[in-house]
Amino acid sequence: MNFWQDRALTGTGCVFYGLAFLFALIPLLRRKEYPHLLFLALLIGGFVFQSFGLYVRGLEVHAIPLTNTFEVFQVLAWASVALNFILRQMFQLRLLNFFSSAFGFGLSFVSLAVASWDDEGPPLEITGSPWVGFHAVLAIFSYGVFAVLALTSLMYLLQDRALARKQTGGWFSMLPAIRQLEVINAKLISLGVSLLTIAVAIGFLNWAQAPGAVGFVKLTIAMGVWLAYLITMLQRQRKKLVARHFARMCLALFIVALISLWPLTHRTAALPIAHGVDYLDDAHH
Amino acid sequence: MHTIKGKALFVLGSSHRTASIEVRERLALDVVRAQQLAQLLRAQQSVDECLILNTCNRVEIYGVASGELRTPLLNQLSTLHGMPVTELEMHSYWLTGEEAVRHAFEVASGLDSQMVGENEILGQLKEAYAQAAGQKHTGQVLNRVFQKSFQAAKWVRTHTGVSKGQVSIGNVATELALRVCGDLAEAQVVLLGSGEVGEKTTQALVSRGAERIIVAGRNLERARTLADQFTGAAASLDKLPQLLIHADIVIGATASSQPLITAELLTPIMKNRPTQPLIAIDTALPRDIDPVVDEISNVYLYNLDHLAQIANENLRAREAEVATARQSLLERARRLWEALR
Repeated sequence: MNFWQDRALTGTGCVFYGLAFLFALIPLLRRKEYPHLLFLALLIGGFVFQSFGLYVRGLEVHAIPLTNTFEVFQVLAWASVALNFILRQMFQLRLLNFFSSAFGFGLSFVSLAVASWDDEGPPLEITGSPWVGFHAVLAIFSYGVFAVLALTSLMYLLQDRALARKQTGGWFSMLPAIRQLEVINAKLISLGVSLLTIAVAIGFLNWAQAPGAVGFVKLTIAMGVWLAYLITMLQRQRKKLVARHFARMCLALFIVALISLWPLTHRTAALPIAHGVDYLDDAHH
Repeated sequence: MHTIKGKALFVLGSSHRTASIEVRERLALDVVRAQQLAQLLRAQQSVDECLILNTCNRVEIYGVASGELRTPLLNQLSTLHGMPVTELEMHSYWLTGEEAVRHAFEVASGLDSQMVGENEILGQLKEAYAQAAGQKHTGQVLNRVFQKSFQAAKWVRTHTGVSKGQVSIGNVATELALRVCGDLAEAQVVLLGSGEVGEKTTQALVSRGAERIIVAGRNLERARTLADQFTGAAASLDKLPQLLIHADIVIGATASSQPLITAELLTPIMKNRPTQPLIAIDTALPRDIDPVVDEISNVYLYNLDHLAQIANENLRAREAEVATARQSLLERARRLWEALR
């Protein structure tokens, strides 16, 4: 396998996501139903190509493909589409597939377009300790949950705005009900925070073994994102932050979390070798 | 010529076309006042026949009279509603002869309705006609005009696609409730009063799965009778604050002259249920729900104008049908007018 093969596969996946999005967007703009079977076939096609591309990349770097910004964005897109398939089945959330295709395409396209993201020095190993790999996978999966939360929050805001402005037809009649979105959002933030808390706890134990391995800025950003989501979840549970305010917060937080991925995945200079956790810094995405 | 043997066929009216919901609220007649007005008109020597159509979207006086009647009628209505004649003129229309016939046809067919193509108006018009005929307020001309208008309405519904699609308030309200609540089986529906439109809206919600219905009214017996239709419960309107605590869908359909649900009442209730949205459908006129309520977080308020606007979004697809129906009604009105003369 050469370096370009996995990019070609993830690129094909990106094209499939883009086509799925377009095939749904055009009829929706015309206030018509979109061809669900074709859309689903394209979305699944994109997912399969992306999965295979990430698998090939994993074989190439001999690690979980979370070693640079390109891979993190690809895995994040992959995780959010995978979660979408599960949630779509569990909660029958209309249009979630459509928003997921847009998100998957957007993230995948950006990561492919910025070539430097895949050229950040030699691939970093994160297979030395299974705990670090587990930490990284959990952290990125929690980001996937937050990505879906951002999508459902966006759907909430669109539905809320349409109802408040007395708009109907096309798009709006296909969006899930406000109450359904309120419930799913509460569940998603609990799931995301739980996953991230476990990831942070594992990361903390690794950091305790090698305190110098993680830079202060990275640590602050990682803890900041976790704390922000934790506070938001607690405020939601206390019913202090609900409805459109909660949805806006989730959307804003995810944008911040997405931006924070860049410093989190950026490698600090030389990493001290301590108890086999020399890759710790880069593993905490 | 706009006369039949020296008598003029006329219609003086105010509807959603000429008056906003706020003005219609002021012009609305209750049953007693509508009857008083009809008797007042019939008592006038110049008026041979009359019929009053009084719905939530229109108040219309059809009549056959000799001499100039527009100004005295406007003066009478001005006194009745406490509204200056100039303002009344601004929000009303006066049609005579063939135009009045065509208007009656279009009203009966639902073409002049706020929700174009809706069926309820035909029932309301038939009821108004039966009442006027029963009191011998109608005669040769109005009998013919209204019987022909019912036939014309039937023709429009059978031969054009005007009534196809989602055109009833009940259907529109149900679609909106689904967008807020999702599954209606778990939704608590509170119907205030026993107005016809409110009842039909509740019926539409039940047909889409709503099971938990409470009918609240001033007259508990009447509320109980209506609640039995939906296998629901009845409650007194005095219990409204308690009912709103758990309500997901509230439908206003009372004849109250003042809003029953105000921002002062609802704001503290909604603060105690921040994750439970409320959809409020106001089918009453005068309105049961203060429009300011729409500004409360998690409350989605829809009144008759909003519902009609949503229903008419489907109208674009039916515009050709409406044009065909209008042309046909125009020809029918012309033929009838010629026959009457």
